[in-house]
Amino acid sequence: MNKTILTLAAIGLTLGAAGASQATPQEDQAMFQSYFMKRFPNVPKDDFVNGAYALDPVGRENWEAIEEFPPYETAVSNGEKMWATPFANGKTYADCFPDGPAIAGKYPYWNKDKGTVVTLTMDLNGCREANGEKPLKPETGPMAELNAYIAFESRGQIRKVVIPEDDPRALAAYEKGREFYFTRRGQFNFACVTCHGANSGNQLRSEILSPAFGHTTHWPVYRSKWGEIGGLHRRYKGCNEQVRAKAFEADGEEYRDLEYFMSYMDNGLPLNGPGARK
Amino acid sequence: MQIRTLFAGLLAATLMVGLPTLNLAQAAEGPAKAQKAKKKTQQAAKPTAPAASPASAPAPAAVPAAAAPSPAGAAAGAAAAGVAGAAAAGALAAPADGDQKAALDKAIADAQAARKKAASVGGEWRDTAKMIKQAEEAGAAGDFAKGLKLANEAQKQGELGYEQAVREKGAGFPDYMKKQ
Amino acid sequence: MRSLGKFATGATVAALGWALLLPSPHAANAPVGDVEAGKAIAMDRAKGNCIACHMIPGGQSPGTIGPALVAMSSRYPTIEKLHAQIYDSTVANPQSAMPPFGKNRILTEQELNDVTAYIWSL
Repeated sequence: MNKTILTLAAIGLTLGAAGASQATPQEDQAMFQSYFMKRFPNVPKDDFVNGAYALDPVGRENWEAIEEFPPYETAVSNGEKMWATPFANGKTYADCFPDGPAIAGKYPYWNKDKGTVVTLTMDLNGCREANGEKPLKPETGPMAELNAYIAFESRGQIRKVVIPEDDPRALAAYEKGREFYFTRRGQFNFACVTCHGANSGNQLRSEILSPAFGHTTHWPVYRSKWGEIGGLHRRYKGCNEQVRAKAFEADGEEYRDLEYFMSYMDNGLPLNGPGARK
Repeated sequence: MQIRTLFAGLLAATLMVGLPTLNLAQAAEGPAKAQKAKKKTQQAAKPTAPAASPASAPAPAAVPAAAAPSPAGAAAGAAAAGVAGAAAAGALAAPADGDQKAALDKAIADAQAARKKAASVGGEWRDTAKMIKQAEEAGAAGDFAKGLKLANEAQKQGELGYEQAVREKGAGFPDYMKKQ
Repeated sequence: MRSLGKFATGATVAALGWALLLPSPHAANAPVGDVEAGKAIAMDRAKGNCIACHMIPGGQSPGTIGPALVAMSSRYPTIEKLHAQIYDSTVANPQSAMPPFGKNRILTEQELNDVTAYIWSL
């Protein structure tokens, strides 16, 4: 009787421990990156920033031709004007961001005072509001153009998102973003990983599904489908709606946490925004 | 001793397997049936007063959605809705617009509740709100049958979205990524 | 311990009995479907859109996410099993990349029967 109790207790403890412990972010990242490098062994690691064009030679050729006269050029130059134009009170974005405009590599980050993940567009809007200007819609229009300029100036910076160990809320936000990524949603019952994990490289109709690794580096994107430049959260909204889930808010908590997780997975990759895509 | 234990096993399995499965089966194939049954009970339980009815007392209780109304109730509803003669025609006249509107209002309220419940766990589907709006528009145009259909469908979406989100709680890396 | 054996036997018998008695959404709708209507559903982006993920003979720009839809009646022993798969493929494979066309009410009951009849014919 005693032996049985001891054995059962031991089994229970082991199962409990296994269930309770999740991988650390570092372990997640190693597993994530290794999965895609193994799935696409002919793609050099840094090339994952080019999405489906890293996998499809024909698509790549077309894309490289487009990049000779990049469709995001206008957005970048509009963004450059915005950066340089003073607010009504005479200050400029440079006053908020002395290191600017090449600041894309600092985002997203965990803000301890606000107790939340902060995106570049949030801080840009924060700068506007601090200087008496109205905030802009983060994922489209002029803010996306400003973002395009900043991204262009930041090309080559290495993604290095930090999850500070001295604030457990940061890890919680990362884990929420992780859960979002793997949660099936919408009437079609798809998780992000459904298409961009095991089906990356496969074709949906005539489109090749891009791998999740490298998904965050090339934003904002001039998407032919949009006919204009748009941010990562705009794409999140579109993806959610494509699986018939109700989209969440750009720069809202869900998408901020999701961006935090996905960006952490991309740590080590060079930033290459803005991008051009179908 | 042996037979008793055998029966104990049969009973236990029946209860453990049968009860939850019956519930699931009902849930899976009968939300419409359950909905109709619920509606019939509720229609029977509460008086169905047409919202716009001016002078008359609320229509008598026990008027199931599709059944013949009592003359008093039909008259009141018909007067309120301005549909002359329909109720006077007799036992199997169409139910007063007021009853149908009440049924639709209830269905829309149920659909909104289901949608909000799904939203509370991040599981709302894309088309649910639109469907509810279309149900309201159909009701405003007097097409209660269409409105009911839309509202019921929207409610199902809300329920499915909620269940999905609850089921997916704790989602993480798939096994195929863990074992490489 | 011997009575435990008897208990288990009784339990198994009852469980199996229940399983056989349970109504199935598939046997009940032994699909009476229209093949032509089903083909239209399979190719329609707003409906089944099967072509998005599956190669279908005669279809344009098929996807490669799911297996090609050929020799279906040799791959599925009964049309009911095919119906069940289209109804909710996560039952057979929790990792499935196919939307639950029946369970999530993407298609109506009739549309599901029609598309099942069509796919079964491939």
